[in-house]
Amino acid sequence: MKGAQCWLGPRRFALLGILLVGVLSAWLIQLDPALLFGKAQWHQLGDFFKAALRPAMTYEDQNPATEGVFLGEIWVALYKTLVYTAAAVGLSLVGGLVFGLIGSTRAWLALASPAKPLRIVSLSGLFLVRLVMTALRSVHEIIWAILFLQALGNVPLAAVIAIAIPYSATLGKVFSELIDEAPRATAEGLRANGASALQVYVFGLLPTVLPDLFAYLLYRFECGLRSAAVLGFFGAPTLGYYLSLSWGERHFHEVWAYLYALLALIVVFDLWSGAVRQRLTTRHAA
Amino acid sequence: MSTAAQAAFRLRDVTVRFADVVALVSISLTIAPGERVGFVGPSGAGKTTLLRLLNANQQATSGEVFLLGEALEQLDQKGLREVRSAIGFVPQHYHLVPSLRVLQNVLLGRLGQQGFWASLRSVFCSRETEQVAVHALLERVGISEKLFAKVDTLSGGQQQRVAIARALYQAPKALLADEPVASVDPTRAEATMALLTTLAEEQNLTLGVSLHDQRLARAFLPRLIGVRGGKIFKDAPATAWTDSDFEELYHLEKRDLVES
Repeated sequence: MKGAQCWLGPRRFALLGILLVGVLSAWLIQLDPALLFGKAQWHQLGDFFKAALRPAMTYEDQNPATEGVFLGEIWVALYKTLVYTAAAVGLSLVGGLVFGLIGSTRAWLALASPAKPLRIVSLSGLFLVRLVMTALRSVHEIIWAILFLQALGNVPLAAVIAIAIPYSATLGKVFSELIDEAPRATAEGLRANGASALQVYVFGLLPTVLPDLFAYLLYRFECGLRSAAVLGFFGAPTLGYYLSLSWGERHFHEVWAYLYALLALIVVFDLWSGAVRQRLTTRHAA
Repeated sequence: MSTAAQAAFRLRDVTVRFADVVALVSISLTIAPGERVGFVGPSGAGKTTLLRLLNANQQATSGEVFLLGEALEQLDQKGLREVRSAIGFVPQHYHLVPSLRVLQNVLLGRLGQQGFWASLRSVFCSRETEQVAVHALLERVGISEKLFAKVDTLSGGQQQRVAIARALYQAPKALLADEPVASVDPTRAEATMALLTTLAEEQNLTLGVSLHDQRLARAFLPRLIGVRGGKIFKDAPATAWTDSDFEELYHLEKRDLVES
């Protein structure tokens, strides 16, 4: 019975604490689990999940005039989602490269060294850029979308910018870390040739971090597909738009058709990007 | 001032101090244009700091540094780039860009003389004249067939030749090499020293080489400067260096280590 005294070890207090906080919070927001067991709610949920087994192939309205149009519309929804993602991620790449440079410790230290003691000015500049990046990143793309849809009206640019802003900042953060962690030697060698800070960045650092950078970009693209789809709920003509229409009419079979389509898109993209990444890393190692 | 302008390199009472280490202590030396000088001494003696200083990559804590007639302290970013560009530097570990080709790596030598867009055009869309010029340099260092090879597929010795070609493509007035024979096998070491000294002679370059090997130093470099503990131990023609000088240069360091 000696083992009993060390079940879960010292972490049991932490676990117990988290559990207590969870219960306390549930009580604070007046969580009512009884709702889950109401008959009407079960019916509703049941309808929704039963529809998963039979996704729609045509509109649920049974209008002979629209026969076969539904599947075409899924393709359009997927196509729009893909195009919006590509535009947004393309824009984020540009923003991310700029943020990556001006958000890296190295770039600012390169400005300061070796002649002038600008260290403090440099470091506060770096801090400022990082602060801006964090601010842009901490606001979700949906909030940006609401803002830009309000300001620009329902134009493609609004949705694209909404995704591109937080994505630029996220890519910038990852890129700047890659740059700061890249081997120093190559950059040092170019600086010894008289290269400027920008030349050191483009010729010395970018080529060495490019494979990692590209791999991360592919991952962001996958996230972008989901973001672009969701922005459809706010008016962009992506998958979410069609989803919200079907949802509004409680056409759950259509909803599931769109959800499966999104799943398929992401799975296909994932398989493709995995293969690309593999090729990239093996070629790099060769 | 006139003597400073005539000398390729001139240090007067130069001290370099890092956070808590003194790397160089009141060094004074003058190297005339076209001179070929070896810096000898044990590891950690300050040879690399000295070379970085001569290549405008290290600021002096105190003292005066004149590089190709320019006072290092008074140079702005642009002036620094010009001086660095006029001095070819071959780092010990070559510092090539691994994912680029030999051609592109050599073209990178001229970064200091180009604006950003010109360098972008040159490296990623090189003209035939540039390719011919690089090919000629590679031929000179003996690896012309590697023009389009990726540098990470090359052997160490080949990479060193690319680094030398890159330095030469700068069309420099002086050539500095940091421990060029420390990481190559003995036969290659001889060939590397021969290559560096012949190139310097052909193109009338001032040459500065740091190395450990006293036999190679004596054989290839007319003037040797011994550095130990951040100070100049002996600065004399190679013929004036005796075996006991070398013994003392390396031996003293050992005794210091034991004492400290």
